[in-house]
Amino acid sequence: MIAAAVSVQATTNPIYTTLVLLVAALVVEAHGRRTLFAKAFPIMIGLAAVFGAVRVLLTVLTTHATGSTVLFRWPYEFTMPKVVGGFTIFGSFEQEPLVRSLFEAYAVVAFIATFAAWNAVVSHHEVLRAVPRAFHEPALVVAIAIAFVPSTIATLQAVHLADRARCGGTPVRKGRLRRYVIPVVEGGLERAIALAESMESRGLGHSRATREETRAASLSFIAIAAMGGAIVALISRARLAAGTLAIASIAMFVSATIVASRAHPRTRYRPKPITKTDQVIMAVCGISVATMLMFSLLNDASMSWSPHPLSWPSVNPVAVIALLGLAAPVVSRRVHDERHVQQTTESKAEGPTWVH
Amino acid sequence: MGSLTFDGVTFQYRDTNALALEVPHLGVDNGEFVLIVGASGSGKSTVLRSINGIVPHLTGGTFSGSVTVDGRSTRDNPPRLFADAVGFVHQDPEAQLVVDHVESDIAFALENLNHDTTSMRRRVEEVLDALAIAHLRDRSPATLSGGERQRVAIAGAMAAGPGILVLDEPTSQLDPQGAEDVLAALHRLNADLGTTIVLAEHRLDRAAPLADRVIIIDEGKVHQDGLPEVALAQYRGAPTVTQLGRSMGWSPPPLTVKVARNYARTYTTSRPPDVATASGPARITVRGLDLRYGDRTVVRVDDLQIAQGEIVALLGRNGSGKSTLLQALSALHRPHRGTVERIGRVAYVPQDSNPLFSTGEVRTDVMETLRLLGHSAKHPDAERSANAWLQRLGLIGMAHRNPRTLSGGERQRLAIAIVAVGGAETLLLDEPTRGMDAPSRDALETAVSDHAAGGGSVMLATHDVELAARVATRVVVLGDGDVVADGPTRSVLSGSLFAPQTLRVLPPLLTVEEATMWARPR
Repeated sequence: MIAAAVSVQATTNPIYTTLVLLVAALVVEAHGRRTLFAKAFPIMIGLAAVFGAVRVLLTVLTTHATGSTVLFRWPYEFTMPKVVGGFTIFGSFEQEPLVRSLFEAYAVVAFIATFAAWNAVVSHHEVLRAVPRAFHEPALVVAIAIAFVPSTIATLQAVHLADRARCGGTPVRKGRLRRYVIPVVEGGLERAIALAESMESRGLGHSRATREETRAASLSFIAIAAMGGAIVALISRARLAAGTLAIASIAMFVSATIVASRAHPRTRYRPKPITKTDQVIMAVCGISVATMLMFSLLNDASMSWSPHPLSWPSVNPVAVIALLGLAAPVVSRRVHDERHVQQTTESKAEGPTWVH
Repeated sequence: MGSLTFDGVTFQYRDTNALALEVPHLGVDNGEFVLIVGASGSGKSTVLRSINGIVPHLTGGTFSGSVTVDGRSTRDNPPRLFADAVGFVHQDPEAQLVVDHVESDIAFALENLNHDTTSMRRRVEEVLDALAIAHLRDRSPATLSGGERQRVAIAGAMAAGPGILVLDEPTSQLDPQGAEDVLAALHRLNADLGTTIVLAEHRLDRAAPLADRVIIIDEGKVHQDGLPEVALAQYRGAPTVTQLGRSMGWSPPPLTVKVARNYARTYTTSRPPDVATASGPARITVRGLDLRYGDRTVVRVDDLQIAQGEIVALLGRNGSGKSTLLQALSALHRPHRGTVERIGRVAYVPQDSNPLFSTGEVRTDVMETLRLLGHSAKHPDAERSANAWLQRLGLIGMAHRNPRTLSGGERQRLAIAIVAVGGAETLLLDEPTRGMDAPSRDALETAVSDHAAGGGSVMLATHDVELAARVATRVVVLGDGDVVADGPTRSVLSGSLFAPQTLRVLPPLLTVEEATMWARPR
């Protein structure tokens, strides 16, 4: 997922972006699990497309550059006051901003597709089992949060049905947000309290965390935050910031692992070892992304494409082969074989007062 | 291992004046199967939560006395330290599963207790077998039925090998088959492994025969404690067959149909006059209905009518299409083919009442419906109408409470008031007695009968054949989306494998009331 996302961001060539998008779809087709997250793959792409369309619309209505090819002129135009930017809305409708914004929207769709594909194919509990022991607690928090997603969606559907039932089958929009939000939030809180009771009853925190584990947990939280920042910077094409944050994140992950390894070892149920196949896939994907980054740094002509003047993007066969390498998971055995699994459907309060 | 003792226990929740619990002494021996019963809000859950220290460690409040489990006091040990001694299971199976994978969720407690890998593998395999859920090991809990999910939750609670298993109404949200599976699993754990079971339940028809002992809790106190036959003899929510025995003067009152039949051998019955079929005009007329989800047909109904004054019980197993049919009758599900003609307003009350609570006050939630339907909430008629439904459903005394503080049964009744206050002539109730205690069931039955007697019509989808026997004038049975039976209650339920208990003991009588009138000793 990271290799594909970085590859999308390393290039402005729409052919390469299309290849990454196709690889994501191929991986989902080959390994998609019958879960809510797999169903969300087309929805996330659709949402990204809507976001992109809005972006294109705003761009073409507000961007007017000297020397651009004017496709047509709107019959009217408005120039905003200087205090709000002084830009012009409507006026000329130009080809270059249109094509560039279309490509940028397309790149956003491909970027989101890589994340959607990851969510569609991974088993989150297997990720939990595969992470180093130092990251067990943060990974557990994420796993629990993910487990809440299906029930929250089910609650939303139940609220929608109940709202229509109450209004005789006809939805009433007025005040609907409150009628939707309160039951979902209150229901979620009730479930969270029950879950907290259940986890405590099942021994969560039975053994106190050692000093090393606490330090490792802090370092891993910082690492996750840095990785998040790197992704945001990557989307904004702030490559230096993205690289710095990514390196910091990796350093924190390594430090957390070293610190945690000094703590008393804790047992885990069926930890998932990284197999040779996994290593090969990771290596192939690593080579793919490294190749793309290298071409980007070497300013390979095929890596960047400009709509001005409008022309077909060039293609480097080596880059194409590198991108096809991202499809390595397709030819592998499923990470978690579910062929035989028939899926039928898819506060703490203040302390007590003890009286003696 | 597996014994517990309450000594001089009193407990008061924060910001309340009354004691929630007052138990001078209570002991449970190793290997006992104890059934805790009582009305909603009587203190059953507080008793259960005290066993592993959730009360007061996680709830706060003022606690005195001591609860000891195998010699360890909850005063000195928080719930997490009892994970190897007490397994705890909630009523909502969804709210207690931690990991989105059955096998990993079961291992959760073992990882927390730092069992070695070999021991973990063995324990997980053992509980998978003990609960008969090995085939579910790789599934996501979100894809399981309610009964399967609850058995997974029990497996998770049992993984660390506790001597005591505490369950708070584990079958209240399950269909009869799911409840049967869970109770069978509990019986196996108790009988084969000697696990002490402490079970709080409202549905006693199946649970009572399994128990060695019944404790009735009322206002936080042990009202009665003894053998099931004795303790339940006068209890309002006793199994139907026990109520029948009580009415017929059988001593001790039976807990099972088999025992009741022995008493009934000396009785003769007469057939009561048939209830007059409702002759009013049709409120709902269905023709050639085909309901689908995607390409899959889930309900096919060629011809169905609900007449004015009728109370129709819609029976059928889970997934047979009951809810979908009710939603189509109330215009919440668009038919693929066919028509639904409605005369007057039709209101559907969903199974899950919680999505209807959005204002934080019982009366305001009822008034909200009127506001949404365009009525002025300030109009005296609106308040009168809201009060009338609250009165009818026995909720008027709770009008200013937050719906979230009500019991499950009270919430179900409030949901009916919220939907019905809009002035619907036809009420469609989806599993209205789920999780209800006896007083709530009685209030619901009265409200339904009054609505029909006042010229309204009611259709209720239910698994509760006892409810159908008591209130329905007609029964419709759905099987795999088709109507497989439709007729007067007595004729449809007679000969059914799932007939109500009275009918199985003293045929053709449907209810305890009928038995007292139409059954005589030979």
